[in-house]
Amino acid sequence: MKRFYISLAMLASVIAFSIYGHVTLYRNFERINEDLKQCVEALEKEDEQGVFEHLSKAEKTWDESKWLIGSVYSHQTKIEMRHLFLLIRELAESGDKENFKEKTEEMIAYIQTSIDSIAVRLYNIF
Amino acid sequence: MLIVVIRALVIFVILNILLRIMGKRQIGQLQPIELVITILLSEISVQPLTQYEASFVTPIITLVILVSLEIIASTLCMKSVTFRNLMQGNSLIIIRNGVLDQAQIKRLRFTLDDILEALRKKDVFRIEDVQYAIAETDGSLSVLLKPEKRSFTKEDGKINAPDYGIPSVVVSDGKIIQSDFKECGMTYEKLVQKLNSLGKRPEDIMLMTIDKAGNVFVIDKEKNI
Repeated sequence: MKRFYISLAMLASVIAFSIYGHVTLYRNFERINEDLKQCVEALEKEDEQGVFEHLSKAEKTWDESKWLIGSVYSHQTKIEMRHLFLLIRELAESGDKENFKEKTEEMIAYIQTSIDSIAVRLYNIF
Repeated sequence: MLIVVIRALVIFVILNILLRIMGKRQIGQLQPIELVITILLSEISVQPLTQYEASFVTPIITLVILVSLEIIASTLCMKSVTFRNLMQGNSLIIIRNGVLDQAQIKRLRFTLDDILEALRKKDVFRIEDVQYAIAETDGSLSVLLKPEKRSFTKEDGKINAPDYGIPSVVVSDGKIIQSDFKECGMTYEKLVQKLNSLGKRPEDIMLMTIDKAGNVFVIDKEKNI
């Protein structure tokens, strides 16, 4: 019976961790997207401080999520997302508004696709 | 990650159902659930090792889930007859008093050749000699011959047979092995005495066994090897 209880505990902890990881990642991605959208809004209002504030928030959330991302997405996805973040930061700092908006919107679409791909839906399971 | 849990559960259930549908013939010596786990574990374990791009946590989670499910299922099999029947199926009698149960054979999708071959492997060449033949849950066949066809045993002849126990290895490749001394009632001192009486040293012996009755078997080490 000892093995039975150990396996029950293992199963419960893995499921609990999975639920925690899934929910955390899902929420963090939504937060990143929200911050990036506000970034674009701030850009349109020509609020430079707002752009950097929201971009920093999105980057911070991304940093907090990095350890969980590997359990859902491949290395390639992580690299691509990191690349986009660095590019957006560089464009923001160089003041290239047009490209900044384009790349931020691309990032928003990328993250939205990622959110959709981890949603607990039949089309993701099968 | 929750999708991984759901996928693992779904695969576990689907494979179990499929293997139960396939029946005993294809399964061989493993119980259906053991086969499922064996296949899945080997497949999943390879992924993180061969595909760097693939996630590492995902296969680990899947492995833990599958192993846990296997242990839980095997414990439930122990505790519940209904669950055991559901997961492993029942043993079925296919020959009774030399008569084939054709309905069961059809149900199991055994051919006559399969049965005759399984019987021959048990040194049985005539179906009419069989009192019971049982198709076990792992697909093997257990056979009980009719009383008149069974081998004569000492019990049948009411002959007392001495119990010598298992011959225990006491010297192996020149080294004294003390772990089995208890099994043959030996002590280090007794062994040294025995070796002295045989005029041998442990280092000259390749193998020496002793049973409960004190019967000794010795293979000397060949020199010039």
